[in-house]
Order: sequence, then C-alpha cells, then structure tokens
Amino acid sequence: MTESRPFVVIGGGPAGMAAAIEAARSGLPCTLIDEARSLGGQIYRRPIDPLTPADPSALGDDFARGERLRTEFTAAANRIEVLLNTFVLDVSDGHDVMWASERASGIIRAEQLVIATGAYDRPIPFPGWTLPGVMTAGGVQVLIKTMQVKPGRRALVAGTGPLIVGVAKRLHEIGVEVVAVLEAASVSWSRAVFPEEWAEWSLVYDTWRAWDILHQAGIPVLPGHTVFEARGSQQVQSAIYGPVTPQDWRPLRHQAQSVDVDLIVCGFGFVPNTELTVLAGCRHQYCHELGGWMPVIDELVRTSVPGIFAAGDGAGVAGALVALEEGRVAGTTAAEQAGAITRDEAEKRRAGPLQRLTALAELRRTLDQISWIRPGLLELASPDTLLCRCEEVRLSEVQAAFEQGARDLQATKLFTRLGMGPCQGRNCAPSTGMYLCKVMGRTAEEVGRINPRPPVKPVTLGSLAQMSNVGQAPAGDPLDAVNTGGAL
Amino acid sequence: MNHTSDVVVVGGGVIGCAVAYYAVKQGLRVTLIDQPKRGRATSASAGGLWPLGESIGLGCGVIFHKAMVAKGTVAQGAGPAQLPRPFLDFALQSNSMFPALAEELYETSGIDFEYERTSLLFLMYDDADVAFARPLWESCPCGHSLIDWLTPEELAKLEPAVTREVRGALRFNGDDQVNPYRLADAFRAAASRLGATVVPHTEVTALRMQSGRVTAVQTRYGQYGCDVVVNAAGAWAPEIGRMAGLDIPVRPVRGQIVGTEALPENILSACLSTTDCYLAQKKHGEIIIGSTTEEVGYDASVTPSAIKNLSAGAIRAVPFLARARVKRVWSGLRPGTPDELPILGPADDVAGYLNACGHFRTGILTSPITGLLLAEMISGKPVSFPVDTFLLSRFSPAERHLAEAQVDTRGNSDAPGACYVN
Amino acid sequence: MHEKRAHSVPLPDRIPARDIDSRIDGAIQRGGVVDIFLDGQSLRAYEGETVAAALLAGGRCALRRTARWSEPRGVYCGIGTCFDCVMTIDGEPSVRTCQTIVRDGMRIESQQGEGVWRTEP
Repeated sequence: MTESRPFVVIGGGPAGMAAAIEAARSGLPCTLIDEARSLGGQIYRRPIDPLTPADPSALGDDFARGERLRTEFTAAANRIEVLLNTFVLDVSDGHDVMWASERASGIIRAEQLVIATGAYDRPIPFPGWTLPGVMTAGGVQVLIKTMQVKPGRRALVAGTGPLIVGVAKRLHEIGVEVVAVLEAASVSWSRAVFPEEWAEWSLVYDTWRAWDILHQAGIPVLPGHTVFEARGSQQVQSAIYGPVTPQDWRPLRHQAQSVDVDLIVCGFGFVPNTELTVLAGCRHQYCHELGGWMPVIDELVRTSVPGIFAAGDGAGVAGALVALEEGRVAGTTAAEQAGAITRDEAEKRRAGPLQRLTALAELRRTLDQISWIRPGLLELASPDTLLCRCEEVRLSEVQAAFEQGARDLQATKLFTRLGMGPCQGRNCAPSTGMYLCKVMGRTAEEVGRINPRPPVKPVTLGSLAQMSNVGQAPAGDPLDAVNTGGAL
Repeated sequence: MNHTSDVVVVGGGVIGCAVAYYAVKQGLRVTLIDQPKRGRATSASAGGLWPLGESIGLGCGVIFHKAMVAKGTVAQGAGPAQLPRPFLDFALQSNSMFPALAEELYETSGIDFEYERTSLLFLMYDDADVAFARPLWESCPCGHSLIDWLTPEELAKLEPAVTREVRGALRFNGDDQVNPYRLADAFRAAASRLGATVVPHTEVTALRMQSGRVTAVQTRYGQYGCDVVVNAAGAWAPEIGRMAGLDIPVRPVRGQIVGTEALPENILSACLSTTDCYLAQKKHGEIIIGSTTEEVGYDASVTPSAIKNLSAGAIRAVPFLARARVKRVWSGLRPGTPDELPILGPADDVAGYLNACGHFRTGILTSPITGLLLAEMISGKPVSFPVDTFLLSRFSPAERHLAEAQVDTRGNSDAPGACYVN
Repeated sequence: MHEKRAHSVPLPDRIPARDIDSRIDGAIQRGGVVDIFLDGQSLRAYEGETVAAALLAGGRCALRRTARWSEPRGVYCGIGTCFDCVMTIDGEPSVRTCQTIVRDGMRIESQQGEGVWRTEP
C-alpha cells in the first residue's frame, strides 16, 4: 500500500540537487523533496515568479551559481520527480518517509535515501536578542535574495566567519548603512587570512572582494569584537558592543560602546538540521567545529544505517562547495549500490568530487579553527535573557532547574519547558547545551540533546487526517495477543 | 560502594516516586533507584485522571472496544467491560487524595503539578454510542451525583468548539487532570527534601537474596542493602521480578499520542472521550489526543495509521482542530496486566519484596493510594485499603507464562526515542 | 587594521509607514500591486512577496506580543523555523508571515500570545 521509490533525496539545496543530478545521470530515477517553492536551499535562493530577475548581475554571485546548478539540474530532470512545498515529517524504520504538504500527507518507502537538510543559524543569546530588528544573517540574506527588501536602514553586523563580511557587503550594496562588522575571532578577513593559491575557491574570492568593498566604503571590520546587547522598547534602537578576549571571546564590558541602529544582524555560524537523521536511527557524534551534533558519515557519505546517506551542511557545516561535492558522491554511490552503474564507472565519477573534497579540507579546517564558537559568548546572557525564545524561558530558570537536579538537556526541558515550543529546540538547545557543559564541566555527549519527535515540521491535523497509503487499522494487530478474557 | 536503607524503591516513574514519598513520610530510610535515560516512558501517555471514566471503560477502553467490534471480535451492542467494583473504589479513593496532595507537595517541594478540576465528557455520535451510554447512566455505581446526561444544546453551551453532530454527552464530574511529569517530579523532590536518597541513571543488575529474602539491590555502581525492595519498575517490572525468581505478568502496551501547538486556554474546558479518541487540553494550552492500545513489545515508535486515525478522530469531535498544527507525536508504554488491575503487595515465597506495578491505564490516578499503601505495608501499619484483589498470587501460572511469551524484548534502548519518551 | 569607532548618530525621525518603501529596485521585476490590510490600515504590496517582506518594506518591524512576558517580536530567522514572525492572517492565528505570500485583500493583524481562534464547528 505504501508508495515506494528507489531513491529519495530530502532537501533541495546544493547537496540534494547534486545528489539528484548524479543519480539521474547514472540512470537511477530520483525523487527530490523540498519544503520551499523552488530549489536551491538557502544559499541559492532566488526571486520566485511573479518576482523575476531583471538585472541578474545585481543579484550577486550566488545567484549566478544557483542558476548554473539549476541548468545542470534541468538537463537531468527527466529522471527526477520533484516535490516542492512538501515537508518531510519523519523517517522511520525501513526508510519510510512521511511527508506533508498543505492539505495532504503520505508515506513513501525509499530503497535508498539522502538526507540533505542543511543547517540553520546558530542562536547566540544576549540581552535584547528577541527584539524586532535582531535578525540572523541567513534571514537577512533570504530577504535580500528573494524579496529585494531592505531589512532595516542602519545595521550592525556581528558574528564570526567570512559570511558576515559577505552579508555586510550585500547590505551595503542595497543601501543599508552598515555601521560596523564585528568579528569575534581575532581576524579581519583581509587577504592576509588565506594563502593566494586559495583564491580559486569562490568563498575565498568572495570574501576578499567583500572586504575590499567594505574597506573602500569606510565600513570598519573589527576583529575581536561582538555585540553585547540590543536596546529599544518596541524594536531595536541601539546596540551595545565591545571587545572580547582573544582566547575565549569573553566580553570586556568596561570597554563597551553604544551605537544607534535599527538592525542587528547575527551570523555566528550554523547548526546542522539533524532531526531526520536522528529519527532514522543514524549514529551521531558531537563535533563543535562543524556546528554540533551531526550524523557519522564515511568517505562515501554513508551513515550508520545501510541505504541512508547524509550530505551537505546537515551532515556537518562545511559550506556550499563541500555540499555540492558530497551530494555528487552520494548520488553516484547510490546509483552504484542500486546497480545502475558499475563500480568502475562509479569510481570514475567520484574521483573528481573526492579530490575536490580533499582539496577543500584544508580551507575548511582553517575556517573552523578561526570561527568555532568559544564559550565566553555564554557570558553575554544575563539572568533575564531568554534562552528559549518560544516558551520564553530565562537563563535564571535554567539555572534554577540545574539547582533542582536537571543534569542534561532533556531534564532541563521537562523542568522548564525549554524546547517545547514550535521551533522544537532549534533555537535553544545549542546554547543551553553549551551552558550546561560549562556549569557541570561535562561533555556534550553527557549533556545530550532534546530528542526530536515527529512531525519535524508543523503540520495541521487536517493534513494528517488525509494521509494516503495508510490503512485504517493500527499497525501490528493489537488484538491477537490480548488475553483479558473478554474484558478490555 | 555499599549503602543501607530500610527500603529501596526500584523505578523512578510516578509510582516509584509516590512510594518513596509516602515511605519517607512514615520515617523510613528510603533509596529510590531509577534506570538510565529516565524518559518518563509511561507518564508521557497520561491523559487525565478520570477515575470513573476509566473504570467503566471510557478513555482508551472505549476506543479499543470500538476497534474490537469492527474486527468482529466482540459482539455489537456489548459495551466495554467495566473493571471490578473494588478497583472503582480504589480509584475513587485515590482521586479524592489529590486536592490535599497538591497543596502538600507544593509546600514541601515547591513544585505545582497543575491539578485541574475539569470533567470528562463522553460524546455520543450515534445509536451505538447511546446504547452503550444508557446503561452506564442508569446504573452508575456512584448514582447520579457524579454523572449528567447532557443534550446537544447543553453540550454546545458548555463546549462551543465541540461538534454539533452528536446525540448528547455523558458528563463525569469528578474526573480531573494533572501534569503527569510534574506529579512525578513533585513526589520525587518532596521525597528528597524529606531525606530520601535518589539515585538516577542507574541500572539495577541483580537482587541479592538470602534464604528466600531480599537483602540488597545490586547496581552497576554498588550495592544497596535493604529490608524491603519495592518493584515499581513499570513496564520493566518483569525484569526486576525475575531477579527475585518471580514471574510478573506485566507486558508493555503501547499508547500513541498526538499533541497540538499551544492553543488559547479553555478552548476546551472539559476532557472529551469518544469512540475514536480522547482529547484533553493541558495547562499550557496544548491539546493531547490519544490513544492506541498495542502490544508491540518495548517498541515506542509512532505509526502513520495511528497518527492518521487520531487526527481524524480529533477533527470529528472538535472540527476547528483541522486547522491546528501538530507539534509532536509520541508514545508511551503502559504496564499492562492480564486483568488490567495493578499488582500490589507481597509475593508468596519471597520475603523483603513488595510489588507496586502493573498500573496499566491508571498509574497517575492511583499513584497516591499506591504510595500510601506501600508505605503502610512496609512499616507494618494497617492498610487504608484492602490489597487482596491486587496480590500477585491471583494469577494462575498459565496467565503468567502467557504474559511472558507476549513480551518481545526487542527494545532498541540505544535508538533515540525508542523506549524512552518525553 | 582599522580601529575606526562607529559613532553615535541618531536615526532620522520615524517616517509614517505609508511613505516608507524599503524595496530595492533594479535587480528584479516585481509583480502587480496588491492591497493588504495591516491592523486595519491599507498597505501596498506586490504579488509574490511574503507578508514579512511586505511589512518590512513598509517599515513595520514589531509584529506581535508574546504569551508569557508580552514582549514584542518580529522577523528573526526568516526561513520559517523560529515562529517569531507569526501574525493572525485572515482570521487564522499564528501564521508565519515569512512563509505566507500576500494576496489582494489579505487582512493581517498582530496578536497577543496564541491569538484568537474561530472554533465554531
């Protein structure tokens, strides 16, 4: 009764698209599922009909790259079934993919599966971070890329990593006044950071260009600084910022400064979306530099569950370049495992991506060493600062839970309701986990996670009630084994 | 490392925590040991207290009954079996302990378990439902002080969000609800405040016996000497029982629950019971919709068919819920027994051992009285309620072995969310 | 390395929402104009825009108040995962504005906490 497919890819960003392309090229039909209205994930977001590009060159380099990938995709599309506006709610034993769209839902049984669900902006709590006008770098990019709307008029950009320079440049180009870019690490993203020979990598090239543009515009990029506080009554009206210690990134409050802004952009790296890999039963590990919890994958991006691959930022944050190559490896290997291509052919097709992944590894390591989140940022939060935005749980309440015996994230959640809101822990677990590690002197493994439960994305009861391919009786006939002598 | 106390309670669910609390109140030295990854597997499934409703077959009972009728296993027209009268009294006595308990635990532990006086409404959709409800109404064991028969108009006034496509509703006025996690927390915190030792995340590996008497509980991290061990291990009670050479006929019975986003309070003031599902709005605003009755061993996963059926059932009862979003779906494992009654008190041939398990659908409801009775038994006091009906010895060897065969111990204890539910 | 300090310059006085348009022209061609209503006031938007984008373009930043501490919230994550940007749209509470496309005549209202549901069967 369940529909089945030989190869399902969850996530239509660079990793997912690349996996679908390679599978299709190798003769393996593919089903690609994405929740957005068009493919490209976050990085290759583009205006959607009826908004149409009039001057592509003004839409930035990512737009051009996204278009190239889409063209490649279109060429292979006759073997790819694309389900847009479709959420995956669960992946359970036997690779059953539960999906839902606005009014319908169903199950697809996948013989092989790629989970390429990407990552989301890491939340860093500080006083006032919930005020309107504080936005993630990712959110700001979406507004610019797809809607061409200025998110504010005067911005402070804070965070770490080359992407903050990129987003600051984009803001500047569209006419937002950027007062400063605050990089928590002690680097300024000028050319001195990377060796010349890395200029071939678009990420490096983009960053240099962005830095040049900011420099020419007189916009300071301050290393060793971060935002301390957002102030305002109904929305952001000013920001407090200042230097941090180079080792731990602890705020040096006595040197704090104030600046009037209506937009604070936070770009503190990303956290992999691991709900589906966890529900699917894959083994995970904690790797702080790569964003936190991530599925364990081998060099062919296979997870610990046979038939399930994990590629892209959802398997460890390493950026779009890595995501593309990992996706190609996944698609090719799936085709090989399905017998659509021979092993020799698969190795030929994998050689290029694997080589590029090796070449990228050093760049990634350098970036990770610069930008891994130091625990000093935990000191930004005051007792009243909300750690859980959804359920409005303050740091002081998490402290109280700890004093009452909560020793891991699950227990903290049960005591305080942290993580029980609609975002299902995404915006509180990373920072609360770090906080617990620090106060208890424990590892991330000991502190654990907030266990994801289906549905991984919200879905209406109406949509679930219409689930197709599902029988009426509960699975595993409950009646046979009951022995209550007629009583119930 | 060795420790000694008067009583060791194995199991940190609501029953174990209640026993620890009442025991330490009696002045006993108490140690409570709970297994690793305490995920409140069974507490998670609790809907409401519903002493009367559950006893006469409502809540999960009537949903299951409907499924049986559909399968032809039970004749149309025969209602869900009611539990024996002693159990009803047991449940009602426990139910009456809650108001005072709420205050007492709050004072001692600072934790509020969100005790709410609501009521339970059984919606009658069709002739079959009316035929089922009428005899309950006419011969309700507690008379008409606790039950009302509501017309559709009366129902609509009380619960404007409930469907109008009903023949009426039976209202049970003593059926209240609590936050099941908080109740266990409150018992545990209060027990701890009063001097009980709580040992979390620790697996019991053996029971030390001497001449037919339990003398200590062995764990990974050391031994806990005791005069009495209480088996309050819920769905895992058989494992502990085996350590004392006993066959405890408890088998896990899975119940799945769909939980919505937080909705404005009092969108539903009463709890609802229908032949499709039950619904209860919790204090924080989420509506929980349950449940199923499945024997699948220790598998605590969720199934698409249950999700679909529960969603459809909820919409039928409360139409606007079609637009409400599901925030999470989970399941819990009820500790089921062959006659649906708990297993309390001593076992023949083993001294220094007491059962407090097998509470099936009514663990939350009967936790106070269970805790009280166990504390009385341990300290040799007269019991506040006769326990003969609940002794392990009531089961024939055949019943015990059948129950054992049903247990599929394929528990994926390492897989996330499998046995341990939040 | 620059040590230039960002100086404190007050922002210009708040411009009434009607006259603000933070849209960027040139790179894209917008669809047709639609009229939407924000807390009763009419606001110009364009086909294909999300409600969040249209509101931000019109200068509206604070979208609702939270249930517990009654604090203002707006757009935070922009990709539909944080649920901060929810408003009551055409009578339905808690709808994510960053995920909803504008429609001519759409009624958008800020909400307090969980908002108000129409529950009649």
